[in-house]
Amino acid sequence: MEGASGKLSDLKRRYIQLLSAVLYNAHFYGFLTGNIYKGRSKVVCAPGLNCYSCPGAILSCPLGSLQGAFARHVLSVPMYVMGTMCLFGVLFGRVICGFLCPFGFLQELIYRIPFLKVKKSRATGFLSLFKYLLLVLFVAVLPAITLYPSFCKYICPAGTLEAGIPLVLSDEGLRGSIGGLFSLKVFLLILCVILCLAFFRGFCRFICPLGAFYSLFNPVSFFGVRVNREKCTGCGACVRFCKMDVKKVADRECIRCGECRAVCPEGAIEDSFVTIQRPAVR
Amino acid sequence: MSSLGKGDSATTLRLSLLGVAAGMLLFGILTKGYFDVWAKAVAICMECIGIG
Repeated sequence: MEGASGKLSDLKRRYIQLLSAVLYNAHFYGFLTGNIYKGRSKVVCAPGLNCYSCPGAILSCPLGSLQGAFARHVLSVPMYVMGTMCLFGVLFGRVICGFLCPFGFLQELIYRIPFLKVKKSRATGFLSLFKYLLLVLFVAVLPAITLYPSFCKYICPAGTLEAGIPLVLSDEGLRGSIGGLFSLKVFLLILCVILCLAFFRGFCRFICPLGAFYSLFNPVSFFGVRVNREKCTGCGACVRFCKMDVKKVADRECIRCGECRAVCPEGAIEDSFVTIQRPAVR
Repeated sequence: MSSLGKGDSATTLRLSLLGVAAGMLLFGILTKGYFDVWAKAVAICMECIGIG
């Protein structure tokens, strides 16, 4: 029974992920013409990682907007973008990663392809800290020094996949302009796909600065999952089952997918409007 | 500290953070910070696509 309800909630999550990916990219005509959307909704940042130069995007990428703002106004806090991201973080935390990120959805689909799978370990737990370094260096420090969005320029595989490749294919002018940087980004995209074939949500766990930002709010976010302390026996089945590098339910690596609910023998894990953390379970 | 006390302080922290975030966003709107986002988003981002 628990297994069936787990599959049902997993299916619901897939539908929500698909719906959010479609809604973020509702300018379908753009994919045919290769023109990006220039309407007023682009002043609004989407919660998840979705390149604003994607021909279908009707919202802005929060990470790109943040880098752009740091590059434009050196040594000042971009209140609009930071406020939006903090609001998303406080309300949802990494629920956004689990439910509302199109690139996260894509990573989960890629992971379903049969390939050598690497399970989580102490090493992957350590590697999950790498995304915080990228957040500080490529999203805050380098854009303020170099005055361009460094993460977008040198790393972001979402930009290459959602914007670079479709626009280069549809625009002859852009096709003539591609060079070493485009090749580097395509190479990184291929590496990212291989990473996601082997590791569940490899980009999300080790690289994504947006996930790193939202993870800072995870322990205090309003929406999430909680462990009923009266039912929990501390067996640790939830942590062992989870494919993310969590040390306990609802910690900074938890994307609130809720899959652990299906394996909890006591039914102690519940959806919650307010997350309450329980002592660490190993 | 009782569990009731812990819950109270956690809720206070959450509401404080929510207030700060909403305040930052409001300040950003009042100072037209959204223009930065719009200006960046309505032109093709050459860095994003790997040409800049």
